[in-house]
Amino acid sequence: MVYNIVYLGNYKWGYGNPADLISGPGSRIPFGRNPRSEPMIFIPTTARLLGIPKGYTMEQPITSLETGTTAVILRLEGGHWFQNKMRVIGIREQKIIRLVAKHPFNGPVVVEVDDREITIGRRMAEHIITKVPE
Amino acid sequence: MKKIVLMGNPNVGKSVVFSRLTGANVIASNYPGTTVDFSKGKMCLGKEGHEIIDAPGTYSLEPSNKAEEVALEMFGQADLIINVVDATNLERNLYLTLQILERKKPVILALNMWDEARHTGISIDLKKLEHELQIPVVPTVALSGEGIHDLIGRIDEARSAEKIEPMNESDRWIKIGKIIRNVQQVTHRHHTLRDWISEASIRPLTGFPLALAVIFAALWLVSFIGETLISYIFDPLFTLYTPIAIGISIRLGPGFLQELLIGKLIDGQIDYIQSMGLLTTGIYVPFAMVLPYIIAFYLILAVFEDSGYLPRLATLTDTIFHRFGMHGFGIIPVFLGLGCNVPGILAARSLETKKQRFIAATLIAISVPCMAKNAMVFGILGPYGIGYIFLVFATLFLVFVSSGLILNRLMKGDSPEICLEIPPYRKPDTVTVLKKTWMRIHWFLQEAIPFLFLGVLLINLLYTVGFVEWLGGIFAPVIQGWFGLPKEATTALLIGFLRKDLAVGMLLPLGMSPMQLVIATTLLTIYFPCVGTFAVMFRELGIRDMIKATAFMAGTAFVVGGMMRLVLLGI
Repeated sequence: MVYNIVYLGNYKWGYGNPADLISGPGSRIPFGRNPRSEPMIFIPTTARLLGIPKGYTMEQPITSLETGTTAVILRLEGGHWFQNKMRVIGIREQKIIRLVAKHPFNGPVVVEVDDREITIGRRMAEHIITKVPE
Repeated sequence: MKKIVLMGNPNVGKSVVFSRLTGANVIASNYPGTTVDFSKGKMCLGKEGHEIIDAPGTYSLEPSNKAEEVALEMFGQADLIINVVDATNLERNLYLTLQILERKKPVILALNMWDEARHTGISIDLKKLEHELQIPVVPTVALSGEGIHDLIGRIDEARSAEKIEPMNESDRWIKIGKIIRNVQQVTHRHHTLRDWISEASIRPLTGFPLALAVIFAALWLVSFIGETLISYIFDPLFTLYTPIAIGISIRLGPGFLQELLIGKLIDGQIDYIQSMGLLTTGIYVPFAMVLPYIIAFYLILAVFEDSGYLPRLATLTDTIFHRFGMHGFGIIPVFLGLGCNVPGILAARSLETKKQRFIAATLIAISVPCMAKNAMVFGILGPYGIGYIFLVFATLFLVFVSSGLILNRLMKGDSPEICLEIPPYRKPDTVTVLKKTWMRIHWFLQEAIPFLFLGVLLINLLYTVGFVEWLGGIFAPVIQGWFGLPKEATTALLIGFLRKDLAVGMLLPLGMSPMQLVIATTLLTIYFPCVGTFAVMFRELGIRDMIKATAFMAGTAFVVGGMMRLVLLGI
């Protein structure tokens, strides 16, 4: 599936830099910007209004995929400790990852890598950057 | 004597290999974090005796919780390592293997779950793997014992890999990538029914109703098995025993020995709950009141543990447990605590921070009723109806939730997020389940009976000396004035420190109203843990945190008791 995505960050409507709202090709989603783990909002219609071409995919955290989507892990964002913890449990760059479940109220996320399910906290998962292959 | 240490990722079957090698029994389950401490055993190789150590699982040699620290400590002491590896997940497991090899200790690799790897379409070239790692590789199926013989036979061949030099993390992953491409072939696997069930039980929409159904079914089964055991086995046994006890009573005649062994006769008859003799209450309480439920509970728990359901439950409860300053894994210590608080508090070691462990231990001690506490609640309130029993458990649940919320605010420190591997569902093996249940029952009998006897002895002594009267007088303002209970209930609270279930016989003769009994039993469960729990908390938390936990418990008991009096007695 292909998405048009506009990123609204953790700022409410009317706040923040409009540049933050749209992620261009290869641009980095501002992660550290979500200290309170507020839900991120992706609005396809807005993307079209802003003139982002349809069929354009981009990198996004595993948490913003739809349940059941398969993607490739591009990178892990965070300190050495976090990256190491993810890698030794099986979540590594270039691995194919599937989002099995996303629990409500900012609950944990269940992913599947190498035929093994792993439960990780939402904030950790937000730092796993993936790309859905076209 | 060589020290041989079993090392490997969590949930690869180290404990099963350990049992196979030493013949010693240790608890093994299907979830990461079953082993939180090391166990030692002996094994003979030729004429030489070796010490075998089962270490907790760890993903790397950089520990992230207390259990992994234990693993690292064991690694330091080892003369030889048996690296147990999950063949279905070789790539990830090799990270630890390489780290171990870099430290130049003699290693032999046990490629465990070999059968499962074959079934899932994974083939591993053993010769090539041996060549790559420069150590012997033995495929094993620890559960059935396959390959264990070869493993023992080849322990002598264990050696350190000379060509593997210390490297950094990314080089290690590159090396692992090379090894995997060289030795492993995976045929694509289609999703099976098992995968489907696995996903249904972990997704929120289907997972929560399933969890509720499973837990209710489990509770129903425990009470059904427990009651069946009582009415068909234990009660008939005691019917046979009564004439013997009466015979002993008559032979002894009135006097101190009769008081001690048989206790008070009620209407000329032995009352197993209230008589308080070593040969009456001292035997009846553990065998006829607690043991049947212990058997039932541990049987069901073993099935739960071996199926692999617990980590899924941990995922579902994660959001709620974060409010209590823990994460989802906290449900596992709580679950174990329902049998006995001691293993529950020990299991909290798999939580990462001190704050999490403190909250888990305190909450378990205060509001998770173990089987002895349950037996007490049912024993006292059973005759009055299920409604009163429900009141006690509802109060305990409220205490759990509110204490969790409060402790989360009060305690300083981090509550990191969950990061838990979900094992595949496996069919529990009947023999393994029965063996595990037996081990735990054995442990209960060993621990509980001395304390019960001690408790009965102490009660008799204290009554004779007049200590009971004196203590009752001191605590009268709190017990009578604040909780609205007769002052004699103080002794029951005191004896509850030794064994909670003994308090049944002490509360019943006081002629309290059902509501007063509800207050008394609730207070007995929350005011203070029993001596065994106290000891393990002391060991796990240290003296300062232990004092904090105790103060919190006393405070909670005081507040809850007063509130219950207001609500239930209306005065």
